[in-house]
Amino acid sequence: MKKLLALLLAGLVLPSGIFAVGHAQQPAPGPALEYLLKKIEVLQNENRDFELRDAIREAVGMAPQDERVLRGFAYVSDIFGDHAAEAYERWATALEQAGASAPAVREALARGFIVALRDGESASAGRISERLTRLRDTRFDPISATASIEKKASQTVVPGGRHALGQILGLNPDLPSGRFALEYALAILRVGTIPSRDRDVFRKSLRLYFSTVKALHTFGTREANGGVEIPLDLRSEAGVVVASKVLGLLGWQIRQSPNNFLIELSPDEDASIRQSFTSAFGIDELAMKMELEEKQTFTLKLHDDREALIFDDAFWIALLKQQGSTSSFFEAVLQNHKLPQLYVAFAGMNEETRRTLVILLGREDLLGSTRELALYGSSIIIDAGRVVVPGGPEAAAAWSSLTKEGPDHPGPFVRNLLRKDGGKLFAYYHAIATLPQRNQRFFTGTAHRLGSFYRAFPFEDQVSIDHNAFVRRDDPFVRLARDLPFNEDGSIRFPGGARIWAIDRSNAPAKDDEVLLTMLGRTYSHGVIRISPVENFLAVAHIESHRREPLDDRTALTLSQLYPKYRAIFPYFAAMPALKGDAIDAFWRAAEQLEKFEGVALNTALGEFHSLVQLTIIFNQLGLLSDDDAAELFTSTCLRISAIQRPEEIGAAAFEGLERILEKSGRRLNESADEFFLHAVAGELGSADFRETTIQRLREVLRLQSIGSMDPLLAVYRAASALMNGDAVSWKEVEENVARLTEIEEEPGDNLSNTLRSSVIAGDPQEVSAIVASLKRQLSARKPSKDVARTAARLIEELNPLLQTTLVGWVYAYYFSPDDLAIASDRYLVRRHSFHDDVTEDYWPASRVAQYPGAMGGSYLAGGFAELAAAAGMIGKTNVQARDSIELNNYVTTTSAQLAAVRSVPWRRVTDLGMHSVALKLRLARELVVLAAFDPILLRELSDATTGLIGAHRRFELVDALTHRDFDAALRLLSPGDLYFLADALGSVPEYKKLNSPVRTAFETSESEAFGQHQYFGGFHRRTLACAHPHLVRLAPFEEYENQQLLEPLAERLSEILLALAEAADRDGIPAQALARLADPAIRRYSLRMAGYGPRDWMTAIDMMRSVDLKALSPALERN
Amino acid sequence: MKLAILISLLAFHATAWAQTTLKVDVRMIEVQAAVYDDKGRAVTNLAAADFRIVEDGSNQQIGVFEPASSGMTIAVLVDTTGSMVVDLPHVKNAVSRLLSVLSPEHSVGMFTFASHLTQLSPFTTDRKATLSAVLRMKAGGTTALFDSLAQLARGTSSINGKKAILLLTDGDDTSSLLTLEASVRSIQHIGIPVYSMLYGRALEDPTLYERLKKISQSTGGVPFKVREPSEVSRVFERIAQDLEHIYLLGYYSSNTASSQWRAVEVSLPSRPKLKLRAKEGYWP
Repeated sequence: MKKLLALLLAGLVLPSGIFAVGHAQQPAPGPALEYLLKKIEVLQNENRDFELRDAIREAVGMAPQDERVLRGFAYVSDIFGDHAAEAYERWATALEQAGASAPAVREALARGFIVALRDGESASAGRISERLTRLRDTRFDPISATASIEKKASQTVVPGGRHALGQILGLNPDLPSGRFALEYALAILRVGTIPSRDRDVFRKSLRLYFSTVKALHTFGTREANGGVEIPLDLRSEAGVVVASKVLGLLGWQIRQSPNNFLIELSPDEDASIRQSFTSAFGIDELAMKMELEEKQTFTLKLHDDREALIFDDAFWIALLKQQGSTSSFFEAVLQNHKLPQLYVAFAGMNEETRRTLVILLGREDLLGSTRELALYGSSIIIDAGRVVVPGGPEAAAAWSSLTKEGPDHPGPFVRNLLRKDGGKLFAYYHAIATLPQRNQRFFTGTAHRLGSFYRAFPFEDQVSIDHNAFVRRDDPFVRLARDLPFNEDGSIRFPGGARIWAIDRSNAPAKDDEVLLTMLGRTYSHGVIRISPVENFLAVAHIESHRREPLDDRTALTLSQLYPKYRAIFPYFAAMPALKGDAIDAFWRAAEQLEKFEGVALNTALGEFHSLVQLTIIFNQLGLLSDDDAAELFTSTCLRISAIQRPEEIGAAAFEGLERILEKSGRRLNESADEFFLHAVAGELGSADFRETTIQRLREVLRLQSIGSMDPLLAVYRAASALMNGDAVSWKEVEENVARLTEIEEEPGDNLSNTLRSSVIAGDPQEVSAIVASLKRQLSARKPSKDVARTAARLIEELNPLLQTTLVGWVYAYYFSPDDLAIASDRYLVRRHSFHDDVTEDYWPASRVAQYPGAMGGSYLAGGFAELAAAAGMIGKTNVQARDSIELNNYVTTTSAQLAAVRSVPWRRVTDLGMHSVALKLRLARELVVLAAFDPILLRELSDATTGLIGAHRRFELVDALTHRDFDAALRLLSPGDLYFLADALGSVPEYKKLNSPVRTAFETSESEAFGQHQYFGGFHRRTLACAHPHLVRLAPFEEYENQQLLEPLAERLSEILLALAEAADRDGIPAQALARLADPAIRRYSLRMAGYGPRDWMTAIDMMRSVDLKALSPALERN
Repeated sequence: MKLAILISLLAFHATAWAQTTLKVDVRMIEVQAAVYDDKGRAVTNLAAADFRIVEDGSNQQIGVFEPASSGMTIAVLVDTTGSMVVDLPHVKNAVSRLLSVLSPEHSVGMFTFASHLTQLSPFTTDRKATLSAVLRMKAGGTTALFDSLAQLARGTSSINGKKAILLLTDGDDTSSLLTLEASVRSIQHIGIPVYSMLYGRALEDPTLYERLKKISQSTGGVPFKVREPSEVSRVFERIAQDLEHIYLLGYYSSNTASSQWRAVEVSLPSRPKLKLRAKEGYWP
């Protein structure tokens, strides 16, 4: 096998110059083709993949049989993942026809075989496999590409079939084989074990379902294929009796009159539940109704499926006290909640571990430990008679000291793990086992350290275990352990030095462990909440991770001190990596000044502050401001605000701040501010049409929200400033600009309360006009008034609410879409924004969508702009088109996070090359996964590389699928993010270095040029990373989020969908600037497909990411 | 009917003699009217000349007239929030019966709403397709009534001719992004009559009932209170009768005011004893 792999890895390559060597004599090409071939060669040498693809396609049109052209076509199809296997088949055929040598043909086909498996083109793989066999190529024997090796596993019957039961529970019936029983057990656990209405309805529905299936079986004839057929016929009295009973089981009834029958839905209590079974069974209800009403025979058909099961039905039934009541796994786990807990636990273990546990613990102990096993069981690995402990073999002694048993004795070791401290040790063991390997090695470095952190481990899951709840808490220990920042030498990187994080900040050097342990052992109060110092530490460490230079001790300490009160705006600090200590000080002073404002003025001032900061960040992300400029502008804005003497001066400070930002960002003298903003966002990439569309959409948001122009505001402000300085102004210009000032007009049906009116219609252009008239009078008097400066200052004050609205409107225009229903239909949305929370007196709340109480309904946005993309995601879920809106209570948290990810991308900077590079990396990872099936060494490296990247159960499934050559099942287990980081992890293994593939070469060539671009395709990580700009980070496996109390972390984990969209766009030849338009509708379509499944069903979510079809959305490009 | 007509006017400017092109976006304003005699019987034999339309005090010339017998587009909008689980079979049966009594030329679309609007079947005269959609209705979720009404109004804006929304809801709004006012504005912009049927918890909130009553009345629809689920069918029958006797009047407004509410008054000068129901105005 090793020899085969060497051939495979080394031989499946094209020469670096795809036209360098011809395999056989070619017919003389025409001059046009010859020219094109030369051009193609140049393009390939210069790695200009996009132009190369176009040129080769053109060449294929000119010479569809030419071997050299088809070789090139295979190459570009390979690196773009676009029907590459077919392209290799064509090339191989051309080689044969051109009389090429058999080895050359075989190499082309072998490469085609691998890319077919990589790209999920099983039909091509099958064809190529046959051709290779005919050519006596035995590399892939005895393995068939199209039929995986049969697995031997226990099976059980799914009553009514996978589709029916799946539909009742909201489970995806098309999940990989073997997963259905696990998802079923998870669904039961998620509704909880504590009696509640939802739980009761859920259990009642399931019991009713099983009893209905059983009852229906008694009316029909069992077919050979395991199905049952029930004919219904109303032409006889006996038939009516049978039909009434059968229809009653399905929630229908027969209303009989002398001459006819009316088939109606039954209004009985259980009827609506039963009615859902009818469609779940795939029965055509309308046909049933109409055919029976027309006195025709209607035949119901039901069928059962068989599904893989851990152990067998008998095992699970034997665990029940009353064993005679059921005969199937599915009913058994419904009777005792410990059974689904145990199933979930077993699903995360290998076969040896499961069997050892069953033998070791016996029935009673096994059932007595199911709560802990369900939460942490996946971290127990018994292999070849010994426990594989977190941290590796070097950690054995450390774990032995805690468990009082060595991992060489699995029985006692596991027993002690389960029993010690009521499950605390088991929880701790799991927490360490799910960390990245480097972090595992840190905690298990010494027995003393492992023991010390064990004592500090808070064991917050104890509440869940005590209440038998399948919910885990996101505790500070786990966050600290996972996000611990390291220096290159393996020591902890404390922002500003360890001393400032120690309680005793004397000069004595603090030991790393002690500092961390002290933080873990303490909490402090901020208002009504308690915060762990760990949160401060991680927040500051996260800011530092964005910076080129480490934070100095004073800045780190100041940030830590600011954290409790200002944590909602920390994403600002993360987004501006060049901020220095003076900037943080300036912010703190500005914040103190802003907090002195009250009422409407407070909202206006905070709105201006947030807008100026956010515009600085936006222009920085768009590449118009350097990091240093952004930091300098932030500092100057804060200093200017902190220097104001009276609240009325905030307007002048805001105008000055805006002018500085625009000037530094490149606005030319006398250039319209409005036009500058629009063109800055639209950028210079992509076609003129895309840019123009972007500008139109920005304008539309501004129009829908009645946002006034910035230009007249700035012009009048400049005039007022000039007058304050005693300079002359052109009154004609001033009056023309005043005439251009607008404020929204209240209409009779608006029903604004007095309070709301004063805040949403704060600007008064008429008053501005009156002040200008007054100024004109004062200056035209024979003896100019001494009040001119004061009146000019009043003019700026009066402009201020209008300025705030336009500034806020600009930020909204950047993040929101004219297709968002709230933007399109609520013309007050921008003006309703509440930047502070009156009730809690929180001046710096997080961005959120708030709901008005009472029958008036409606929502508004609250909080600052630091996480505005999150709110944009929430608002964006409801589109003006109903078909593009997302159900609120199902998959909406994930959709919101995904939309937030799209809306936080500075699209004007995203390049086709960046997108291509990301796509190549995903293809490379898939290729390595496929190759691992043929190479035991690579498979082992793959298994190691996926530790901490994917959950234990998935790792077993992945290795198992590859062992059985089930490539589709293997690739379905990995999300785009998993693949991305898998490519990183495998990039350093020895087998990778042997790989010689066009995709690897193209990726490595693109990577340096696309530096920094990959980030744009990361997700949105407000809660998981405290960041509001796109990030591509290696987070914990999905499994670690699936049963967390809050949905948001899992939703953010799934926000990596942009990676899948990038790959699809790259494959389909859709430019990055077009993806900017298509990403939003693509996510809507994707989310609508997910609507039938549970919000925690990440497995279906990642599976569906594979089939995103951007081409089908091209009409959306025309609309947008 | 939104009839966008670009009228190019060559205007001579007195001083500069400059030639200017003015673009005026004019849309046809549709008004649906139901007419009854003093015994509540529908009057179906009126002609365009019998009607008079006054908008903001100015007489308008009726350019389009469809008699009561012509077909119309009907959007059935059913609340399928979680609280509807028990009553949904009643509603499905009632809608099924409604479909069987509506004139075959009426085009019916089936919509549900919980957290947002869902189109179960497009507008069609194929009753089987609509009935199949009715049977697919499922309950669950929160109530985004105002968002759904606004989305439905937008969705029907491009449909020409007579149309109506039949709304059935049992609860107050719990999750809309839009306020009631924003939603009403969208409906009034489109000018589609809303027949609202409220029952269950919706009846416990007098404010909500008053608001929906206002929506119905201002758009030319009718509000109904449904005390028992079994009454749904009866109310649907009344609505079906009403829908069979509606006139469509269309005019191009002479009003040039930009964005103000425009009050519309429809009357029958030659038949003063007859009762008439039509929308009260619209947002341009």
